[in-house]
Amino acid sequence: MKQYYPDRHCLTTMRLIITAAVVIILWAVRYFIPIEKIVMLSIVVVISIACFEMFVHLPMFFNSISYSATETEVTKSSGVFIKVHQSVRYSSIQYTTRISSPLSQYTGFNFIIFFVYGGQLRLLFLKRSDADEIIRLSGSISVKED
Amino acid sequence: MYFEHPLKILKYSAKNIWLLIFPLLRGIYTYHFDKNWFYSWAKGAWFDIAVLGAIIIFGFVRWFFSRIYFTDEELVHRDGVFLRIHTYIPFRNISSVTVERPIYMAPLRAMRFRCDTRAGIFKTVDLKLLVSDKTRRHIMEHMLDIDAKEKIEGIPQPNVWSILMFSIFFSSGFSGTVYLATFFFKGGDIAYNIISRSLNIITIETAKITEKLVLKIPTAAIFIGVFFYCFVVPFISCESFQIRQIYH
Repeated sequence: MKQYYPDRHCLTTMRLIITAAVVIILWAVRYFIPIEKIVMLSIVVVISIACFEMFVHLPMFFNSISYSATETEVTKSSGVFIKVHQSVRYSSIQYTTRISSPLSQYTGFNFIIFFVYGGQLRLLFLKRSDADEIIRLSGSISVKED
Repeated sequence: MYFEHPLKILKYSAKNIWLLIFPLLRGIYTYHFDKNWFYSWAKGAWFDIAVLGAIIIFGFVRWFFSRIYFTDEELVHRDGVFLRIHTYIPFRNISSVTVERPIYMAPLRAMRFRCDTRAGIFKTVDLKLLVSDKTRRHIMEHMLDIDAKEKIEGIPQPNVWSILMFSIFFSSGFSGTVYLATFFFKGGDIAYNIISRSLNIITIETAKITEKLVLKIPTAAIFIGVFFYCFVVPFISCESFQIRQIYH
């Protein structure tokens, strides 16, 4: 059995994306809202939410995710407040979708979705090498990279 | 490797092209016969034309990155320009394939190819492509053959009597009649009076309608008809019921 964990690069990428989104929102608030008090309140609220997300929730979320793969099945464990364990046998996989962003080896945006009878198992924020390995373990033959 | 049919470029562009309907309408509205009209229109609408060009180029790029691969064992579809989405479908897991050839696509030899497995979200197709006849043929060459005769032979089938009994016991008409009968017999005089009064009113109203329609259908006949309908529908729907067991 082999354990897989989310790519830590992804946490940095997510923080950068959230920071960019916050900057855009704050610019829009300052530009479109003329009332100073509302602007200040919005800035405080937006920055608080972003800080909570970047430094509390996301690290906890990333720490909570782990995947274990054997020769016959893959198990996902996740959940910050409620732990969820989901297992899927490779033999029940009907088809597989893999989603990768550009430069996914640096961003850590590699996702695999296993579609099985009656549902799906989503493996999120994997390292590219881990994603390749899991796809290969699951029995997909044509793992093409371009 | 195969590409989807080039007609897909239009489909990818279509959702954005409608935005240009207003500049087009404005152009039509201001149209007047003039030899320099096209020049003046192009001069005024150059930005819209550039946007249209960008939309079509975007559609072309999306089409270019939508590629179909297949090996002897699985069908792979690659989609997405920035976010690359690979879908791997083993041929042995494909439960249904639909090929649609709309008449308006016939001159271009394009067709819709849909592929479904037993997994995935209900009412959605696992893989939907717009392909040429050549690509469709190549994909279908890899599909596993199904010998329908071999699969039908030896399949246990229910006999007519069991379907008849099933229809009697599981049709809502029968159970409804049983409930009503129980209610009438055991419900007591008060309930009987209330229901009878209501039925009388309904019967009078029904009689008025039937008189108008000059049909003179008795109320009992309507009840029997409803029961018969409730009984016949499940009977007909179960008529060709089969149990299939497929060993993999």
